[in-house]
Amino acid sequence: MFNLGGVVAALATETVTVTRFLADAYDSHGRANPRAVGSSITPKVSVQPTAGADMKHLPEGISVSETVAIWSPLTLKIRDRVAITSRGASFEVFHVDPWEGGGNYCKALARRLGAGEPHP
Amino acid sequence: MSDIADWTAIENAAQTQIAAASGLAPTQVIWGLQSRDRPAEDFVSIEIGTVTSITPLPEQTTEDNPGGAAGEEIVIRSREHIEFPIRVTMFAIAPTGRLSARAQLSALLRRLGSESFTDALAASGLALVDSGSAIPTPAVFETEYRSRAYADLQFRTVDGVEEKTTYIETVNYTTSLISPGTVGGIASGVLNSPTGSGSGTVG
Repeated sequence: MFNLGGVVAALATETVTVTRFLADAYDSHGRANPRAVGSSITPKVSVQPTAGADMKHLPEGISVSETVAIWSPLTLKIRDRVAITSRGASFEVFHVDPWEGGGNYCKALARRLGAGEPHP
Repeated sequence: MSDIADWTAIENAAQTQIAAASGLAPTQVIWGLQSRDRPAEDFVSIEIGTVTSITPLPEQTTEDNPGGAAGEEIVIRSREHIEFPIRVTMFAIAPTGRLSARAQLSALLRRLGSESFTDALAASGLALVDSGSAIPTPAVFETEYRSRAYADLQFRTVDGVEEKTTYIETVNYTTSLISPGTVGGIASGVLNSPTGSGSGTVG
């Protein structure tokens, strides 16, 4: 497998802020505790429109949301929250194609968070 | 105006007793639809269903409110009995035996129907009127069957609204006497349309 980490880095369009949360936990009445931030990273990534083939990954109900494909030399994870300055909004990762094993990059699909989101 | 039923308290009371009857840690008995990571199995997910009124017409009452603050001497209530289901879904790893979801849920239902649990629920204003049956619904999770079962519990409680108000203590009125003149050579006045004002206390 080709190492495409350098290619992805060379084609990067902007630096984004990725917030990663700790595992969800529940209180004694079964309600989820507010998410706790585990870490924050600022990779330089390439933000692109989603391709038609990406749409098959969209769960029902968010097909009308604004979605982007993020090509990153650092691995992103589902539920990562990505602040994209060029879009003026935060996005949440819902699908990841990890190629860090040999390709040294990952392609993530993220949806724009709507009004009232993100949930605490 | 305020609601009589406190749904946070209702949820807490139901979840506390369901968790105790399940034998699982309270943090393993969670409310569904929270869009969060699931706990590790075994765990229970609970959801409140459709709330229906079982009272043809709400009961209207007007009562004194002893000890109420000034301006809140009377309480007007509109109350009705309501019924709602709580779907209890058990997720377990073991497909058979006493740790299967069906067996654990059956045990939960039996415990919940015992007097100690129904009394505890009643103390919180909840009546368990039907504990349902444990229905197995195994499902494939990724590549393996997982043990699941659900039951619909029926609860009743009282809901409605209440508002506090006060007695009528004062009234304002408006009237006047104008057009002084003479009638038969005697100074007099004619009662005319109201233009003055005053107040009085209701005895």
